[in-house]
Amino acid sequence: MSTPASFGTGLAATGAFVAGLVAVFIAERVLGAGSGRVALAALGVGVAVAATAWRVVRMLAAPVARRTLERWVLTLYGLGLLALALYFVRGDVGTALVGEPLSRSSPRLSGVLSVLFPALLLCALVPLAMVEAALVAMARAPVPETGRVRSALFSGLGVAFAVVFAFAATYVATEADASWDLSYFRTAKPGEATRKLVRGLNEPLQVTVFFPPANEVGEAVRQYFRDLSPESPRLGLEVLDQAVEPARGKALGVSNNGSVVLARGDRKEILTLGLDPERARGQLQRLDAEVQRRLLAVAKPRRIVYLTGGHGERADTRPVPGEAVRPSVAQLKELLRAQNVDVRTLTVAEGLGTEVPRDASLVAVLGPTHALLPEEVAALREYWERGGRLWIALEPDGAGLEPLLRPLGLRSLRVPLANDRVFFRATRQQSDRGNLGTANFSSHPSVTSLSALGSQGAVAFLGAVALEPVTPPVPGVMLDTSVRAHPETFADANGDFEPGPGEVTKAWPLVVAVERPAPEGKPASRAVVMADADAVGDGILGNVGNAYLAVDTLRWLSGEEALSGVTTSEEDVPIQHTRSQDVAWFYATVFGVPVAVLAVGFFVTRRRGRRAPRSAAVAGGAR
Amino acid sequence: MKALLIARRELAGYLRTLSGYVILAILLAVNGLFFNAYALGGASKRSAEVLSGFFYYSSGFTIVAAILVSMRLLAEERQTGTLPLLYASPVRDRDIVLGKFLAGLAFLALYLVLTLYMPLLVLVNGKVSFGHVAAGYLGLLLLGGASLAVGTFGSSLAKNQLLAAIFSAVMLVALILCWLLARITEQPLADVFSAMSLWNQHYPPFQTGLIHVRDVVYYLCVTYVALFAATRVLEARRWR
Repeated sequence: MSTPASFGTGLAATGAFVAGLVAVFIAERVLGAGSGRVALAALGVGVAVAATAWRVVRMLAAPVARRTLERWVLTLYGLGLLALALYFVRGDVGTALVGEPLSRSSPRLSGVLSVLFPALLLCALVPLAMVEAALVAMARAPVPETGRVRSALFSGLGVAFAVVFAFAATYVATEADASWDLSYFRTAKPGEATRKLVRGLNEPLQVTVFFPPANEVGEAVRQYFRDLSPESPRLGLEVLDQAVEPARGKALGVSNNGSVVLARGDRKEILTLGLDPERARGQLQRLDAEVQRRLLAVAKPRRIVYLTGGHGERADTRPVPGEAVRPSVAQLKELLRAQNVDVRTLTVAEGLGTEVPRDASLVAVLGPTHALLPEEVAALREYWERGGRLWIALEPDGAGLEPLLRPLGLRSLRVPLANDRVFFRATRQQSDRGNLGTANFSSHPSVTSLSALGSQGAVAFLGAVALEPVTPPVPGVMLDTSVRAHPETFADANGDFEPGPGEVTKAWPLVVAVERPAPEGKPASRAVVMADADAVGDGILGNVGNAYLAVDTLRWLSGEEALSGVTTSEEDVPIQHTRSQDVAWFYATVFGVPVAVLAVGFFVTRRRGRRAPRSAAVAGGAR
Repeated sequence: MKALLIARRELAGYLRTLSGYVILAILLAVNGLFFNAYALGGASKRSAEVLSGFFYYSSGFTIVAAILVSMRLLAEERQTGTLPLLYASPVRDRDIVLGKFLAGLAFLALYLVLTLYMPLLVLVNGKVSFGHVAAGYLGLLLLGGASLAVGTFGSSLAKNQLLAAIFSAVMLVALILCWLLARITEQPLADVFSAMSLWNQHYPPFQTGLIHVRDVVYYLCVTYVALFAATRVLEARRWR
């Protein structure tokens, strides 16, 4: 029998045991297949078994005081070997015994073994490491302290159990996962414009909602119309399940659930949302706009808007090679169509040389680069004189349109505007100063929604031209500057984007609403002149403020200003900053708050320092 | 209760010296710089994109902050020789670990609260879903808590603060890089490594405003295991 001093540690055996396990791991996970794998796995198992046998011999030869400790270590070895055995039963041994992979013949047993063998391995190796560490610490002790080793054993088992628990909990949570999407997803509520439309109904309008019971999309749509129905007794709401009432669905042109039908007399509009909340998400976020569009289609007569052509106006056609690419007005056309408008082109060929068609609700002249023919100007002036509606948008380097603007009491200075303080950054060049942004609106009905939105509805003008009223004013014509530029905006006569002497700085008019009242019973002449055609061009119209400017302009010109109001949307919007906002945000985030934190820290620590008693050393030194 | 007492004392230690405020100010300044350069910078972005960008890089700062905070938790006591005093006091090891961890977590939460003005600034020109902000901050707090717990474990192993920071960083990087192991290993190990990945697998949903129970449970489990291990390391003095 050995004495405790000569007995030494069993680290070599444990090292061999762990090396055996690592060899099995490499064989199974790295080599994966072939004779090399079998050989290395067999070698690994052999080494692990030999190490265990070595440990048995050590236990038998151990002094009595050490025998219990050796038995604990041997038990951990046994646990490791059991894990190894379970691994092979789940794999090759199981397949050899049953004739097919265990995962196919007994999937549940295979699953249990898949979880059990790594758990057992962990419960063997972690305590083994700790027990060995404890044994090494008292290798030379004449009598080893069983309590210390027991403590190490329990610590190791505790850590192993904690890891197994963590894996099990994570697995269960993954399998029974629940999730909440808190990103921007809400169904839009009825906006002011839609409420006004419903309030103004003069005939019954029936809304039929086709959804199965307890459908999430259906619930959102029902709630939207429930909010809207108190606005008018003429709005009827019916909720149906198409599967239960196929005949009603067929009569309204609906063959599936997931649709909303708005019907007034013979006219009906269908809004299809579907039943899947994920797919309907986008439509639900702009439900108010979708409903408003269909309400306009069934409740209001269709209006015709003519866009003049033939003078380089903004269009949705491809640019002519060699000419500068200018944003088209395809988005504006789409916006107008969504407002129940029939958009048509009006050129000399379509009769603009003689007169404006009688069915025109309004005529838009958007950014012509060449002057209009005298006959066209005469036709448009005659149209204005008889109560017509004109929408004119200028280009800084385009046609002056003086013959058309003069009767409206306006003139273009043909000088671009710029602002060196408040502008939108696009290219980080000096020319960005021509990208004006403003939230300076009047209370005119042509900007009702913008006034309500305030700074949330800032409008962008990318290269506006200076406008001013003619002197003396045209008798009988009333001008209202509905949108003004920032007061620091200057008329950049020399085009250097710097304010210079003689370049007038003021809140230049950007949009002017013109009205000439007519005798009783006749329509008043109305016009809106914009200093920049880009304001309604593609890309910029994606800005909320510009979109509202276009819609409110349309409504005022077509005499439906009472319907103006904000359409609610839960759609996300692009963030656009002016340069001054950029600067303010930069200083606030990079310096403002960190400096404030430092100041608080300085104040707190200094105050504490003052309160603290003087140290003895300082007092002694003073003496 | 004793853990709370230790936490209060420890937190007061952070806030009564200027170093705590300096760490906060530096982290906030760099965070603000990234907010301007990456979340807001470039072409005009939608509010959700800006928020997602903010939470993306803030996760990195939170991990760094967790390492900075945790490096001193236990290693400093060992370095200055005050750990035996703690052992001698009538508190259990788990109270020591829990108390120090809670103090670190409170400091980390304070840092996160101070960054709140950045997503709220988005409100000025964009639309902010408060649910998205809440989800993002929950993710940051869970990620920070788990990182802090791993840091506490590293701090319990180390003899000085520098070693503690190195240990913590190595363990956290190993946990983060588990996604890389998941890509090069086969099933079922790939699943295991993927599930263990500290950032790649579990954080991005929070960044986009999505809360999954599995991700919350994962971070809580990492925190639990790391704190448990740290407690065992303190207890090891009895058997080493």
